[in-house]
Amino acid sequence: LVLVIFVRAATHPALDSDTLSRARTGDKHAISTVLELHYEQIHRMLVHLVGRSPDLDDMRQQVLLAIVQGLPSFRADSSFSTWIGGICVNVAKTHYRAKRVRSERTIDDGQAAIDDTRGPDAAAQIESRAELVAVERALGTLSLEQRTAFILANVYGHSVEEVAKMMKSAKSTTRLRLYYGRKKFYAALGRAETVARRETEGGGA
Amino acid sequence: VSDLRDQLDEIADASPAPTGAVRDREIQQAVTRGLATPAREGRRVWTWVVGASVAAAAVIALVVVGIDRDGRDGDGRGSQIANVHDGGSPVAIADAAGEADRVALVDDALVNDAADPSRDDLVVERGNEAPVGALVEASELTVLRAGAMRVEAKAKTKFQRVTRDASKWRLDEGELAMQVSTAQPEIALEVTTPDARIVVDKARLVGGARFVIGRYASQTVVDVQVGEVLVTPTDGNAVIVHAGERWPAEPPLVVDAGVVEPPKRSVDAGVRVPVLQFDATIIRKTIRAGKVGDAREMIEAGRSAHASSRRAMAELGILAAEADLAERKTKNAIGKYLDVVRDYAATPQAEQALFAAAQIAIDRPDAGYKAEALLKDYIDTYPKGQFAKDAARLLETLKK
Repeated sequence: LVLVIFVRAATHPALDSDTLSRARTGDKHAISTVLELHYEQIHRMLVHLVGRSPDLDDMRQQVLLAIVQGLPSFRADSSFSTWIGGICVNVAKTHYRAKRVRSERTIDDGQAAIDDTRGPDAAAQIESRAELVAVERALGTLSLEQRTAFILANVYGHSVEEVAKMMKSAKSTTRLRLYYGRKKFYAALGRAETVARRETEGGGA
Repeated sequence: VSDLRDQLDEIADASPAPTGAVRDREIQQAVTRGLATPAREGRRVWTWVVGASVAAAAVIALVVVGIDRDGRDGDGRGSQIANVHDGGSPVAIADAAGEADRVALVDDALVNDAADPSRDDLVVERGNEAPVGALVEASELTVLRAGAMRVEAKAKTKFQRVTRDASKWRLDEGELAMQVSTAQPEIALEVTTPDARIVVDKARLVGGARFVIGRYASQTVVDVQVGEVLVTPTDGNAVIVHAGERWPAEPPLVVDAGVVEPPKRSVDAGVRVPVLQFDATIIRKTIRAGKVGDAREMIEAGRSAHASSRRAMAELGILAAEADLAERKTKNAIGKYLDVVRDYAATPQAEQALFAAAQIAIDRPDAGYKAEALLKDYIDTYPKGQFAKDAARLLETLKK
């Protein structure tokens, strides 16, 4: 056990400026370290942005590839995590546009997508929690832009300026997206909670 | 807000990121591909510079050559199509876009590269105007070249070059063999059929791509021989088809008598790659979705169909190990990886399997395999392998 912990610690050091510098110059080990350290963050952010989609694996691979390709041009005018967040946003946007997921993201289709990706335990875990189902459904009613702005600001705590930069849009546009996104989300959440609670109670009866 | 954050985290926890060997391999693939195809720095500046240069050149050409308002050149010929004759009736048609070099390339391709070299009596002549976008039905083998791309349309193939830069094509019926080299890194290729869209993604274009798109009895079939191709059916999700794989995994069941026969792989006969009857990507997705039983059935079906192909059997062995890993049967998984190493040592999958086995042995020393020995074995067998440096680093760490 000690050996395993030691190996894990040795192969997953904290990201320091030296590792980042070496990664930017194309050092393979440094790049691997950077990717390893941010792997969970990337995956989690993609899940937040697009939900539990069957295409998560492909999208994650695209983000990893874009990071490796973009590292040499990374300018430290924003934090590294923010830069990676911007890449996740871009990949999610491209993915949505390519597949017109937007039109598929009705409540029913969202449910189907969930069934495709989770194991039986995860499914039960989510479905047994009416509030989680409600949150997923409410997020599903937002447009990609609204959802992205909403998640970046409310979950990741980015400022409007940072969100605008990550989404490559104007601050005024971002503010509007946040405003309408929040409004739509909380309105949908109220409806979705009622529906989810009714379904959970009905299923339990 | 904190409630929402917690709830979203719980939702994300229900769809965890891959771990262990799967994660490591994903990262290694990204590093290898990313370093092989670095992003072009200052692309925007260069785009402007190149755009301005092209515009200036066009203006000069208009002034010097004297192209009139109809877009016809000084001889008044306009865009033309090259008709290739064989003692009378045309045997092949190729859109030459009114450029002499294109006609020469078609001529060159047909005379020098055609399957039957004795047909050196082919004549190329300029025919009628044929704008880009015309639907062409090839009467015999038609070869087109555009930059770093080579396209071969078999007889009876109905196809269309949608854009002038040959980046977009349409296939209605028949068979197109396409080859894209990396000589032109900006190349992006898209072929649309009535039931699918096939894209060669330039981000994935490492070492070029060669594939055959067939449309038989209203069904599209894609065989990838080199590189990777993204296939998006009109009624389904996108799938990446790798070299040696076919999409869909099963060939069409119904073939109309009047249309072109299913692929016989007459193109590039010297460099044939065996076509696999299983889709590794689909099997991996099935495993990740928790349907390990289904995945095992697909693996067994693949084994029955490919008992004679060592490469296919090796890949199926790796998939079987991944299925065991998904069920946390670590010891079995390592055993299956090592089976691949032992039984199919000459395949590229053996290297991958040996390193994967070593990595898992590090993570799970209780599985009964010696990670150090496996890493040493890897370094000895593949001193210049794709994971050699990682193996050396891990070995050094273990020794400390």
